[in-house]
This record gives sequence, C-alpha cells and structure tokens, in this order.
Amino acid sequence: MTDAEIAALRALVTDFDSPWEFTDRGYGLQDPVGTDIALLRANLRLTPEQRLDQAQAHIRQIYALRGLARRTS
Amino acid sequence: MEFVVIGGLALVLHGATASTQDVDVAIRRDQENVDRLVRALKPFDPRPADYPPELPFIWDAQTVRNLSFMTLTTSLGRLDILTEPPGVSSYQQLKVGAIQVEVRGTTWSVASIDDLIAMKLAVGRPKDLLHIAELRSIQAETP
Repeated sequence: MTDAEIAALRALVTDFDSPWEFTDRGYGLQDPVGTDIALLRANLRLTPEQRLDQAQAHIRQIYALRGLARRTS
Repeated sequence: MEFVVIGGLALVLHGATASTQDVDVAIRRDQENVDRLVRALKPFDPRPADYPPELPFIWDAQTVRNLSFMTLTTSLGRLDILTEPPGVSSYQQLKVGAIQVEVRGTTWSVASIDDLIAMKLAVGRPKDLLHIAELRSIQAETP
C-alpha cells in the first residue's frame, strides 16, 4: 500500500464524508465538481434496486477499509 | 405510514454516486401518520443519536410532534426524520413532486431532483454543493 493510499484511508477514519470516493475502479479523489461522468452514466443505467445494492457494497467496502486504516495508523 | 425519502438515499436512488450511512425521510406531521411512525419504529429501540444512555427517553407521538428534526439510532441503523424539511415550503410540496420508485416489492416516494437541490442549497455544507453538482449532471444526462 502506498503512502497516498494510507493517507486516503486515514482520511476516511476521521471524516466519513471526505472527498475520497469509492468507485467501481477502486478509489480516488472526487472530481472537483463531485461528478465522474462515466461512473454517473453507468449508475443511471442501473435499476433503483441495483443502485441500492451498489451503495450498500460501497458502504461495506468503506467500513472494511476504515478498519484497515486503523490497523495501519 | 406516509413519508418521502430525502438525503443521501434519495440521491442514490436517482443514480448519484454518493454513499450514505443513514436514511433520511420527511414525514407528514399529523396525528394518524405520527401514530403509525411511533408504532412502526417502537420495536427497533429508537433513541436520539449521541443521547447519553443513562438518560431516559420516551418514544411516543408527543415526542415526535414536538420535534421538527430527529436524528435517531435504531437497531436497524441510523434514521433521520424531518417534519419541516429545509428549502421547501412544506412536506406537501415534497410529496407532490416526488417520484415513485419500486424497491424490493414496495413503492417509495422519493424527493424530486429539484426539491433535493433546494434542500441542499438551504443547508449549504461543502458536501451539499458537491451533491448539487451531481444532481444537475443527472438532470442533464436523463431525458
């Protein structure tokens, strides 16, 4: 894990609403306007249920990574 | 019980990439609806979030009617309940503009994108401004 990745995980520990955003491609800093248009278009092709499932998967991923960040800090 | 889904969950249902760790709903604050809310949530031990555990809390219709905003912990997770959502004139405005979304065999009223933008403008935190940008992108992307 790189220093930048560890820094991102630590940011999640202290600020759940940090600008770090988890996406299908992993995680990265959000676009300044808050929208990755390709990801958004992919989301809009999903049904509402699929959108919910994806959001729940992201939350589980975030909590898992928060635990990892605590162990590496 | 009559309610409209707002907040991060509404964003997700509209297709936003945002994540959320709670559920926000606006409710109609009349006797019948409040009574239904109280009955529906009672089995799940609702308490104000961060409320000291040693302090007693009574979950009843009077408590709900006296509050315009409740941030609750329940055995199912976090739940925010608003009776006077900011940025819109009334619950009725939200209800009239809401879209109907089928989710796991039930139909939910979900606040319209225009009303979500109005609520986020009224609150105005940095993350709300990011969400507004994404909501406007959704409007531009959907016919």
